[in-house]
Amino acid sequence: MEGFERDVQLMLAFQAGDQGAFDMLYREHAAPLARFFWRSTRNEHLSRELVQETFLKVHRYRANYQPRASFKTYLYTIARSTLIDNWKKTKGSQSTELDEARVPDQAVSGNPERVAAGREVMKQVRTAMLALPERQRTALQLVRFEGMSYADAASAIGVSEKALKSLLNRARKQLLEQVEI
Amino acid sequence: MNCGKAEKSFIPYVQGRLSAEDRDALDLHTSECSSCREALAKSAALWAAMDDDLAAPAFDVEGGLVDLKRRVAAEEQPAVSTASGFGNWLRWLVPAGAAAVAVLVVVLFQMQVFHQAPVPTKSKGAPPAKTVHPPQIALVDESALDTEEVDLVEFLEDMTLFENLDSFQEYDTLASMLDADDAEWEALLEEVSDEG
Repeated sequence: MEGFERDVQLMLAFQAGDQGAFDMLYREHAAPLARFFWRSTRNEHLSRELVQETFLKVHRYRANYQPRASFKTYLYTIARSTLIDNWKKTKGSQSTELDEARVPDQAVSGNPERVAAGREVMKQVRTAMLALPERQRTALQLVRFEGMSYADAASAIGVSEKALKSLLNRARKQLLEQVEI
Repeated sequence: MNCGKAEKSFIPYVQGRLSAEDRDALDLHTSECSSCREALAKSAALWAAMDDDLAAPAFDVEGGLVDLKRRVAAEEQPAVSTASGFGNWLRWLVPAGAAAVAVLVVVLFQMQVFHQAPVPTKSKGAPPAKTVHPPQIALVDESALDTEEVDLVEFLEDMTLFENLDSFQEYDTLASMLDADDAEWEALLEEVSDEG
């Protein structure tokens, strides 16, 4: 069964009372979701907390779930909303510098492309990504890191596919203005 | 393909999401346009530099699941009060105090009305005697009212003192207004509690 269909079936099973189905969804999506949050906050503790809040909402509002899109789209729609809520609550007071120094050597060795980009460039990119407007950054993350189709990413953000492509292009241009490549 | 359309294709190109036709068109354009060729190369490098999966902290999935189940269980428990005994006591104290004060005010008002000297009735020959009241902010034109009405207006104005029950200073205010000494005050409280 395709991941898309399997996740939808798992969610429907959970909706019908199968707790094991929820556990499977968590095991599959929690770690990528943590990376999604970490890329937006650069705060490991906060990322973990946001993962839990997101899955709590999935659990709490399971009765409202309708399989209109992939489960991943559904999950990241909730995740984005959770992230925005957190920003509103903290009003930018959360530190984004805590984990900024973490760029392991493995990340810039071995792969020739990574070596070319270099450790400094990667740090610049990460810093520049944090400065992107929320929708641009989320669009970039969903497409670049979560492997979502443009249609699914557009749905998660609540824009048209054309608007999503425009967000991606604006993000690309802004990053290139700030990063020395 | 012009430069504007070309730059919108950079990310799909780097991701391998362009159709064969669009990819060929972009290849042709960048072979002729050095500016777009350079921009495409930078975009590809940028795309590669974003790859930070190794930098991301590890996530303890099983530990997270245990923690999540604990939170779900706590959330799904019947809504029972977790407040401390003192918290519960305080929670009941305020409405109980409010009720007691309301009853007390009514009793005091009745006592004041029934114990005061008879108010002369209005007659054409003799104007009604004016009752002397402590100075206060006039909310109504008292000159237009007779004595009973003035008393009632003042009573209602005084009632606004009790809108904020957070402060017990208002008890003292009421007591001084009514010239009740400690003994009378205690007797009144007892009377109110007996009625309750």
